Amino acid sequence: MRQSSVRRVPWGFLVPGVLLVAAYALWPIIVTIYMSLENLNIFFLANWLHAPFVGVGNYVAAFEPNSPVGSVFWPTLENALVFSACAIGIGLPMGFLAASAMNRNMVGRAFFRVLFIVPYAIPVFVSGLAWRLMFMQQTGAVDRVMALLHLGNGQTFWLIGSNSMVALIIANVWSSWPFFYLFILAALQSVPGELYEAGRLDGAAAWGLLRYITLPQIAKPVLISVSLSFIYHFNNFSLPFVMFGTTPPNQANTLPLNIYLFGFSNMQFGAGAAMAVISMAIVLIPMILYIRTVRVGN
Amino acid sequence: MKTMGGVLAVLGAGALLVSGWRSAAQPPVSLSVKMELGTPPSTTMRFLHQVVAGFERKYPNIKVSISTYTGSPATLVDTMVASHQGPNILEIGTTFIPTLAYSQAFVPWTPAMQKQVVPQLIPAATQMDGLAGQRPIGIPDSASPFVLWYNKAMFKQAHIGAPPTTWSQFVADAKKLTNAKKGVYGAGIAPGDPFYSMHTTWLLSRQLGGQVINAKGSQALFASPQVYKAAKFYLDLLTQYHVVNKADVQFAESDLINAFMQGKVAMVPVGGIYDLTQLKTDPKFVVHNLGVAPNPWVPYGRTKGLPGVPRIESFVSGQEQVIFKYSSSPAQVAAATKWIQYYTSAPTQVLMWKEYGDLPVNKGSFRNRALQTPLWKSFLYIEQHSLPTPKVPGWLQLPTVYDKAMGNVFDQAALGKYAKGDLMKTLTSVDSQINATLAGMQN
Repeated sequence: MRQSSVRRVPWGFLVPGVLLVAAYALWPIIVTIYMSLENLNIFFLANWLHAPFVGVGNYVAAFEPNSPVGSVFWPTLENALVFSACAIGIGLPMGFLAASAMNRNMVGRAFFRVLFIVPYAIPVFVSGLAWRLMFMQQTGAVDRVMALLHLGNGQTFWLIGSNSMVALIIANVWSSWPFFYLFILAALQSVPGELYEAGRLDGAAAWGLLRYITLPQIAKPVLISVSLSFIYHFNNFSLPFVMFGTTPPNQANTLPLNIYLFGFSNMQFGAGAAMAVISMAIVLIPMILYIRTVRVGN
Repeated sequence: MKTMGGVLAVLGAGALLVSGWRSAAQPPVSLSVKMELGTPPSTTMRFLHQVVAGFERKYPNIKVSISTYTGSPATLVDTMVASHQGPNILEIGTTFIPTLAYSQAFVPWTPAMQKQVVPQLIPAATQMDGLAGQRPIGIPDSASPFVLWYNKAMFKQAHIGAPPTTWSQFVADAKKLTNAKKGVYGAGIAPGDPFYSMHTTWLLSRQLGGQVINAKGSQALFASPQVYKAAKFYLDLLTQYHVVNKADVQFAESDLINAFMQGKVAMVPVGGIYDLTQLKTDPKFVVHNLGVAPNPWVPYGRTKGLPGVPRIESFVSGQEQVIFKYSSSPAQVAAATKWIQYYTSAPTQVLMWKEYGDLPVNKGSFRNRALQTPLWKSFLYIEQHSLPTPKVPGWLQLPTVYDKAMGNVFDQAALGKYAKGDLMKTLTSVDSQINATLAGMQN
């Protein structure tokens, strides 16, 4: 009896904190879900709890490809997935190569270690604007350099049409690849040197060391970085907004930007909230993967 | 006589005491005002502090706290309305006013309140004050007429005597001024800029006797013959008349003004007065080359305006001040009225013009000699002949959908992928998207 009451004491201390954190984290989600079930626009915003209840109507509209909401939702979802996949697909190998190089003793290592982090440290509003100017047709540096190298005619449109997604991906990879670099470098440095020594004694060449020692050892951190990276890029609003504003080309209109436009420019908060909830559900997949990988709670 | 004088003196002293007591007995009123931060920010703050100091000297019982915001006010307004928390007075662009009136979160101006402020203002500037047929919620504090910028030196070189008043003449002049090989174009547009396509199309379609939305505000009319014709002419500047650089499709207005200042563009229709801030960075250009005129008003292919259609050269635009209902007590509403009256008074408006270059809305301001130059007289003329854009709840939603759709049409045209019929398809899609939004709005 006495022992069980002693065991309860820590719980008593924990409960207020847990409740506070739960309320803090959950409350915005509950509000968003509630809003997604309403036909909430500027007229009802002052009394948003009493906006007309439409149930899953906003979700149905979003999933219906021919509806005004769905006709925008699906392409922007696809764009967000392509954008995230490319950020990971290009950024991860770049990060791995850079981390592998920086994991060795080489001349100027300290300099390069700082240099590699610079793009990641620059605020996205600055880098986005710089890339926008560089991608301008006729006057931008990209077009001019390409013309100089005879790789283009100096008339390439980078900020409109299908190239706009290419421009967006290039700008994004430039600023985000150091995330993988940092993660992988930390992972590489934690691989015990004895494993490599043993591998070499067993006659393993560079490829063998990479395949049987390095990759298995860093697999978990890489998986974590991929999960986190997907969550970040899928939700990336800032870069598309800085580069294209509120009139993005269809090919570069990603889901977070579309949600913002629906919610805050178009003032269709209900439809915007429904798309935000769907987006959250998609992000839950890598989040679960992340939680399972790091084994939170164990 | 002496006794009489003494009595009068005592009475006078008594009256002074009573009035002093009354004044002291009035509880102080605090007023929070949120203004848009202009460029450069230091100028805004200097100007606002001067205004607050002058106002508090005049009304010692009212204490004003000023704060500023930058960027789109949409998020700010949404938060204010949803949370019922915010400043007593908010400065916001005219585009937002009808939608804000629809939210019912702002104080409608009673005739008594209006009487204190409105008579001193330019009548045309007060037209975009709320929803049609309802009490106003906004009072303009500065005007921003949309004009035709033109390069006087380029006009002279091309032997063009005066800026065009018809769109046919505009195209003809633009063709004369275009030298594509040298990268010089007669006209410039900014379809990538929020509101630019909407403003231009509204102006052109009104000149053709059309409307982009019906009077009730319940149905978008972008696919109607007049609006289609207007949008097509706007697009034809690039696709048919070739007087616009393809590179313009990626332009925001600041990019366009930059090209204009570099002599790459000779005319910018529907340019905002706020472009002056950027233009003034090259004072030589402003003094020697900058021409300002009303936008052409006669539809393309005609020599006279359409019968029954008023002469429309610009639309009412600028900044307004609104009083937030949920945070304002009756005493604060009264104090807010005094603040807006003071802010829109002639001396304050002249000070604002000197600091920022925004066009004053007070009629008396224009008696100031410094405002009697050809440039500012042109702005005043254009402002006086501006008409309001639709005062319907959904007005704010229209540019969001239309600008993006037209941006993509221009993109396709620049890439050579535009096909005949695409424009009508786009306008029909714009209508259906906007109508779906409007259907959800009830009153």
